[in-house]
Amino acid sequence: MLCAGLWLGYRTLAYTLRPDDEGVRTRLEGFYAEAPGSLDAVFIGSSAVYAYISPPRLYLDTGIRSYLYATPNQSVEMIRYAIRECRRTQPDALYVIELRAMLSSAQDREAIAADMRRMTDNMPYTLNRMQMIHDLAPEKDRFSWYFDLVKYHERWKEAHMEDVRWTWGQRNEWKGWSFSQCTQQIELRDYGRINARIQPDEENEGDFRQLLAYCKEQNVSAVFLATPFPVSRRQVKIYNAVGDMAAESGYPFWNLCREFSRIGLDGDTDFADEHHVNTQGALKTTRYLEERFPELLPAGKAGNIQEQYGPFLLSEEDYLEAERKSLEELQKNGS
Amino acid sequence: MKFISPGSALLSAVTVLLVRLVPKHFQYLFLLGASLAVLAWDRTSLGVLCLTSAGAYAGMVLLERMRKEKNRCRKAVLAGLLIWQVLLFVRFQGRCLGISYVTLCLIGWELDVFRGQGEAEKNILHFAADVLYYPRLYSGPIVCGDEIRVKTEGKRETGLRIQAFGSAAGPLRRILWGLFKKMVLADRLAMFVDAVFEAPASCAFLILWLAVIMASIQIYADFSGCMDMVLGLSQLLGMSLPENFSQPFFAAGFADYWRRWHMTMGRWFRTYLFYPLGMNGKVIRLSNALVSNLKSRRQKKCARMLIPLFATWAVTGLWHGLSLHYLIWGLMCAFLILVESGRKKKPVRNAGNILFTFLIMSVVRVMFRASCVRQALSVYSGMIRFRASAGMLRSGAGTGIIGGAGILPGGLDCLDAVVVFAAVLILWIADFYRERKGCGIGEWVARLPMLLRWMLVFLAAAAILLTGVYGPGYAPAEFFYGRF
Repeated sequence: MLCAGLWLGYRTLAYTLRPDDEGVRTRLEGFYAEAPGSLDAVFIGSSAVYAYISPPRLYLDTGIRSYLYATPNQSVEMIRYAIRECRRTQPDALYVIELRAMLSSAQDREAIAADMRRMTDNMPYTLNRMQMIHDLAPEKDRFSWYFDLVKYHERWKEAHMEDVRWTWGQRNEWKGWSFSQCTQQIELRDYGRINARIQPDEENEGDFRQLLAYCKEQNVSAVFLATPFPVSRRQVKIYNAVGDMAAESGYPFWNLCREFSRIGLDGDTDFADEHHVNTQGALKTTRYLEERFPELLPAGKAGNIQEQYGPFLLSEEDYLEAERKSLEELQKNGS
Repeated sequence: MKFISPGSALLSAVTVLLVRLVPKHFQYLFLLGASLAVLAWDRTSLGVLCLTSAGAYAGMVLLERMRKEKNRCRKAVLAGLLIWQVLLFVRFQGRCLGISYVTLCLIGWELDVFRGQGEAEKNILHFAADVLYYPRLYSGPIVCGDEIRVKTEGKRETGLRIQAFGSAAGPLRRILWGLFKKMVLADRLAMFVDAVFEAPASCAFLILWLAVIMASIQIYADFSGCMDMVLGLSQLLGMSLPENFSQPFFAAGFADYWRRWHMTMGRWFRTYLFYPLGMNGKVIRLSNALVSNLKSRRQKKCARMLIPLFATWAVTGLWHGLSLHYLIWGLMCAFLILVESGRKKKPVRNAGNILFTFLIMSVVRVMFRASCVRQALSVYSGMIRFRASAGMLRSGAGTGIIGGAGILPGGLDCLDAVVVFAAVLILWIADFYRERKGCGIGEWVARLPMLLRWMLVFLAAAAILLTGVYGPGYAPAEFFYGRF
């Protein structure tokens, strides 16, 4: 009883004091508030996911319930643990796995290592979390990875009552999506005719093959995705090779970098920066995916199951109002 | 391996379990194993302590065998042994874990064996377990002579006893209390005090005085916190070690202070240096020459004390560190005791004398706390020059703990000040209770209803987890007395 009490006390303190750096805590924590088995789709990836897809819009248009389990600079090797984590409560969902990390170099990965903590520091204390830390975390200070309170205990000075958590899972109404009101003009080039292939970075390739093997072994219902941004020729060729690898394992690869015109993206109005779309661009991307989902989600699954799991959105009006305001702000910033 | 670390906690937990489970005759082996595991993290410490222990073992066995030999031969062996110990101490002080404490303990044991007041340990594994007992390596306590020995029931009659194991709750509460003092108070104060002592010239008058007072509290919280953890752990292992503190901040007078502060050190130096010097023929003759012109009895008494007192305190200072400022500190302490001895009456135990003793000892401690004489003089200079400027409360170099700016040097902010105030208050209340009732806060907690007891324990644990100074981004202070 003593040990259980101490553990519960420690866990409460740790959950309470975790920071919300760039909204990662709010995003990841919200996933655990979704009822087990209630989601039709889970999106895994980096900012190439949470800047691009609006689950509330997807739900309002199609009834598909989804969530964005995404963290900044999420690497390919981290994806397997993210899937495992999500499948604890959503084993039957379709996993939409964004693969922009396949374009990273060794130098990028050094920076990505620092971002790995944002994921582990926002997961509940599970065996999967321990395994991820054991496999991927650097040796130095690893104790503070396992017991993140060691790193964040000083935040007691900034904590508020609403931060208190007895368990991990505070509802997120936007389901992980980040609105963006910025606009940057960029040049979109159509490299749709490029069919050549370049193998991705060796480490990325190895991690991806491991990921594919894991998905096959665990019978994960998955589709791989590349969200649209102004790619270079080289990056197009890498994506081509990635698509081949996915196809070898029987998984589809939706390369939206070849679909600018079909999506309707405009380089003058729809991008926040060179790597991410803004709210307008995200809504266009989401509507495009709505057309593609019926390929993978069986008819009837994408339906309203509110009676069983409760409402997906507590207030549709609130979401619509937020969406409207974001678009208005965008127009002001753009003009 | 640091004493407060996940590795050390795990090792200690495993050692306690094993020692409690195995037959009594083999307990010392597991203690030895744990001690070697700790020392293995630092090969220098392992090598040096093994060297000094090996020399002591061989020397003591030889001394005991030579009991019937001529005194001159035995003195030569003892002299060689002492020189060996002192040389290793001088060479490796500050670089070897526990060398200061082990050296004193071994010298005391050797002297006892020489005088026939103690026995040498013939079993080398027993001997190693006694000497290298790892909790004692960090900050003591300094055990006298035969006390160093770990006793397993039925084999040896003297020394420390591995007792029948009672409740673990009391020792665990003591460890928790030690952690609170160390991590919440001492390490937090260390950031402030270190920052002030590093740049005393840029600190204002009040800040300097505050730092001097806080330095006293910091060292006490650090050292006594360590002692609580060491004694608590030893109790878990079934061993009883001597106490090192007896509410020193309630001392009325300097002699009283040193009977309450680092008591085992005081006891050792009295037993093996002060009294032998005081009874030494040559010293007596020299002292008599000094007192021959004095008329007052008090003056004669002080004069007779002069040589043993100053010699003892000079060695005490140098034991802490082979630096001039430690030597000066020792001589300052000796001077205060001498002056007090020369007074007509002993200081009366009242609030005024207690406060006076505390303040004077805090001022003297500046010489001890500083890294060199120049730094100490810089602090003293700032303490006597009243800078009545707009910057009276200027903090000086206020770099944040984790990047933010603080209100005090070292980056302490308002909430840190609240934590310090609360912790100091709790510490004072605990010491006051012990001074009045003769029993510690642990005994008081043990008498509470179970629900209240557990609430206090959880609160203490939460306070340590939240407000303790530890984790990435900090450089938590090593035990202050661990450097000796």
